[in-house]
Amino acid sequence: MLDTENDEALAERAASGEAAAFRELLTRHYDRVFRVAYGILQDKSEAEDVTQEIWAAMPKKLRQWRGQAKLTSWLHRIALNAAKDSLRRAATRARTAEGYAEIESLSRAETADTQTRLTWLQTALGTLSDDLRETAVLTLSEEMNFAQAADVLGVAEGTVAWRMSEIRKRLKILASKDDGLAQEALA
Amino acid sequence: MSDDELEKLAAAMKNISPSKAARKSGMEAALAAFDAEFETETVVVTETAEEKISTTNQGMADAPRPTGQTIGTGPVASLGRDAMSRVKEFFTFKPKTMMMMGTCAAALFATSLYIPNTRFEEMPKPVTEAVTAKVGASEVKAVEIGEVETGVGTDAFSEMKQLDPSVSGVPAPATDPGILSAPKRVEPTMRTPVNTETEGKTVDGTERSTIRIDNSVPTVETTKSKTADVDATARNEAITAPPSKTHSAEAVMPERPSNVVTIERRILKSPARTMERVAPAVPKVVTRRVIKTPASTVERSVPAVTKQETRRVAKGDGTFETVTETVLVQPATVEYVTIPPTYETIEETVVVQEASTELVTLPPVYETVRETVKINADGSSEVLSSDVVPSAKESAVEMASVSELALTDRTDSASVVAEAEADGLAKDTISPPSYMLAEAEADEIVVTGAKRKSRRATRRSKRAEKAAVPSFAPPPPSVLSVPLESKSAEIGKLPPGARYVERVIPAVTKTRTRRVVKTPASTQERVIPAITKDVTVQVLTEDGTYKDVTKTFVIQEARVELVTVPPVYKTITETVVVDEGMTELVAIDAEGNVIQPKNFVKPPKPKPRPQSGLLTAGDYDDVLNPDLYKVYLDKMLQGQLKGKDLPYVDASERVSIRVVDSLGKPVPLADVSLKTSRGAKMFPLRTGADGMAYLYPNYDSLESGIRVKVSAKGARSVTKRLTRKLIKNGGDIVVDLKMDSAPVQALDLLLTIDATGSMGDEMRYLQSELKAIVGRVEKANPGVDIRTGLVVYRDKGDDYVVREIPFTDDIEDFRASLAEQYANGGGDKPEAMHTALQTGLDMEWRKDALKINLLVADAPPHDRYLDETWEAGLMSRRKGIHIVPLAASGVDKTAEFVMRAMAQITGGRFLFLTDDSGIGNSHAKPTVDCYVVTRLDGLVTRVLSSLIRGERVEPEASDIIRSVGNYRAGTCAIEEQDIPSSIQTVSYKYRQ
Repeated sequence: MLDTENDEALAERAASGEAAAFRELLTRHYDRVFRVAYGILQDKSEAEDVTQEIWAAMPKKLRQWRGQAKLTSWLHRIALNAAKDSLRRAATRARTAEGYAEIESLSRAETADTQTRLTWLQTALGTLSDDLRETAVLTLSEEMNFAQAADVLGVAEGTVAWRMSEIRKRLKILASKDDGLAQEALA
Repeated sequence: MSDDELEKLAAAMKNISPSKAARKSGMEAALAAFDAEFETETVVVTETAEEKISTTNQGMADAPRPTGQTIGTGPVASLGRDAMSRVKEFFTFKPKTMMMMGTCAAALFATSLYIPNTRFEEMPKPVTEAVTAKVGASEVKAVEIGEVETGVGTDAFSEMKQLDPSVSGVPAPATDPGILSAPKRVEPTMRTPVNTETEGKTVDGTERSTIRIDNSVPTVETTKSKTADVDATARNEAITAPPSKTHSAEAVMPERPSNVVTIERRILKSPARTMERVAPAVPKVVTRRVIKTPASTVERSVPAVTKQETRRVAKGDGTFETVTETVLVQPATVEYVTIPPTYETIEETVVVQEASTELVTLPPVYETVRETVKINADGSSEVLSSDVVPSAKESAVEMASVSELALTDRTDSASVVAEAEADGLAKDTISPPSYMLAEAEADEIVVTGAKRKSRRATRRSKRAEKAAVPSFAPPPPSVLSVPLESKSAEIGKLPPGARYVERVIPAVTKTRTRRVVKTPASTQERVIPAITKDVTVQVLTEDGTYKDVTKTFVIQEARVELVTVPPVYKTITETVVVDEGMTELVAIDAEGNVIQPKNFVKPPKPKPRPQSGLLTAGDYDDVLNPDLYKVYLDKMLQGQLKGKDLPYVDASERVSIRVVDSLGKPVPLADVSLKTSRGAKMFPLRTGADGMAYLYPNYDSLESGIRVKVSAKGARSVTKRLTRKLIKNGGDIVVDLKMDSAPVQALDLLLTIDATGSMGDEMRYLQSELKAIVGRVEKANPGVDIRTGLVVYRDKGDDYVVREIPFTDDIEDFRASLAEQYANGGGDKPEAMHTALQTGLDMEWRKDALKINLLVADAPPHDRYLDETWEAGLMSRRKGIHIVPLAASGVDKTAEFVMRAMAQITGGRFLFLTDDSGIGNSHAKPTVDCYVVTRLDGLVTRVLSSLIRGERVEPEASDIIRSVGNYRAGTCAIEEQDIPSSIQTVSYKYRQ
């Protein structure tokens, strides 16, 4: 029953204290929140921490949820904001240490193929500005259409369209300059 | 970056997940937080219950506090939550509650409306209607006041002011009905004595009297003018207020010379104006014969012919034997029998006179003002009073003139219809069956050799082509030089020396005339001089004598009138095909006599070679008609496409940015960028060749303070801010750049063509049309560097999904590439339009070129790819690519909706094929209000030229085949009543 119920109904029940409903939401959307956080932070452990923080605060936040938007849009907005906050905090940290931690985490990737792709992906996303990166995360990773992404980001649909064309343009340049990594990653 | 690569990148992003350990610990932490959050609440609720039970113990000092109870927090929090939940419950939508609340609100509202109405009903009638002033020359004057109220002084004051123009300089009384309605009523009826003093004559001959009204009415000094005997009635008028129903006054004046005259002048009340009158199109039903079933060949077996022969055969022993044998006289053969074509007569409605809009001038409205004027000895004058003279005659004249106009209109239309009908009778007679006629005139072409061709036939063919093209009929059948001798053996058996020839039966044409507008209606200005009148009066001078003073009054001022010049029509003659041409095979003998005229026909002939100019099409400019586009949205989203999550923009409240140079010329390809008031980048746009860029307040999430920065090569950028008013009401922003703008010098034209099987009918024709179009555009816009590119698309599962030919400036290369394409595949109706558009976006467009994507399709994208299609449209808008969709055969409402939405947002135009050519499958009728049908090649040339030049290029009257609705240079005028009442104008929420 629970697994067929829509997100919004589950959220309402979770907000009224039903643990099973909350657990179902957790199962459905834990990774989604992580993906958004990772897309912004580009740091797996950092993203894991932020995800954990978001979900720990979720029961309280659910009380504020009024059901006026899709739950996923709401979650994305929370994840995006939390990740951006974290990014600002992390800006003070030493970049080198982060890079090292990331390489470490990448080295744990299950296959070499995944590792190649992740490396390229991180490089690619790293070339994008914050605005473009969060747009890319929502439209590519979360498969949102422009209108949904615009809603989460609080911008016009036209702005998302412009950002996406910028993303495509920059990734194209990156792929052409790349020393084979992109070809390997995207093969 | 291609779509595939992007998909791979997206897949890589989607595969990212937290480590198992992190996920597990994260989930546990979340669940613990959840328990903690809701545990507290549960405890609090329990405690509240306990609290209720142990109330009696609360005051006991030694009574133990319930375990876990927090001091104060629990009950307060609980109370807060309960209260909140009750408030929430109260505001939760419940139909019954809402209905009750609604009823109460409505009742309250009605009561609030009712109260003032009653109050107004109870109000005394305006004083102006109740006061009657009887003024005698030297008697006590009384003012009968029907109802006098305290506080009515202001009204009485205004009355007096009307009575006497000298009462001026006093602040105007308040006219707020709320104030007037408030006074306390004192007496229902009251007669107030008025003390009047008659004063001596003054130098200028006026008589002064003072009217005093006690108590409530302030004292007012009234000056009455005694008029000279210039006009007996004017005397009374001069001392009375407007004669309507305000006052009636009687005055007995001694006769003596006076310098007070009454003049009636005509004053312009409302100027002349022009209004549009629509002369509807005059249709006529004509009939023509078309082939219903083409001639066909049926195979028939002809059995062998044998005969029995008896002969005597000598035996070896010298005797004879009679033997009967069956001898084959003619072997069995196969014969092809011709089934002649069947015809049907179809009725068509053609426009014999296109609809036009005429301007009619409504005359100005005047009112006659009667003025009492005092002329002084020095020739100066002053107006003592001024009344409007009601004139039933004038209004009657005005009405008559309008009726006359209407009558003229009817007469005009009626005569046009009558003429059209007469035309129809005279010229619409159908010729005898062409098959029979043509046979007599048929040309014969010997087809024994592949290259031989009758010269005469060629000439005829050319003549036929020349005649057919203007009438947009299919081309006459060309003479095919096929080696039919070899085929003849298969077809049938011919006598020696006989051969087959192809006989051309030409199309039967007739001429038809129709009227088109040659010069549209216009207006001219005519100056009407002023009318003056000299009045001579005797004025008492200081020395006691009278002298004549002449004063010139302007009775009617000079004015400019608009005179309507009616439109000029011209009659054009067209040649139309009433019976299509065909070819047939006949066998002729050595002398050239037809020996088998009907039993043999050529196998089905190939389709005629496509020729440019055969397809017909119309267009609709939604950018030019934003309000009507909104009506279209309403119709579709509440009607046939209700419930479909389709993309669109509401252009009816758009903000138009017009970029002009120092001379006011449009600046093409200017960059327009937007930033929020907080400095966040929004999306950039580019102006078209007309210097325009459009913003849609709701769709573009516009807010006040957004900065619009406009820049162009060679000019300093200019920034403007969007105001709240502009965003709310829509409107124009004009941006002046200090530069001298240059017209568009380069064009990148991309053809995106649906190449699936459903486009088979038109594909070959389109290839031919498009080849010609590119040539025409080049010719029409010399100096513009044109590059062309091609994207053809089918669908997933076909040979290919998208195939692209990069932009090239070599038109021959492009033509060759285009010619290689053919229609195939498809299957289910929607096609991969989204992929094609995306591919087009990724092509190498030049930055400084005008960009046009001509999208030729007959099917919408798949529903699941609607978003991607629309998004490609949005990105096209951002890049400044105008999408010009051309709806081919059988396009459905969804496809039309998507195509028009993309044309709207990118500043393109919606084109559609029509059935006028008779080529291809039936073309769906578009949901547009007005359009003209012309040849497709001409239309596309005009649309491309319009986009290049930044101004509309309209068809010549002779190019218009048919006109629908009230078309006027791309705009449509429809009346309110033409909009179905079931359609509501609503604001739709943009989809997500």
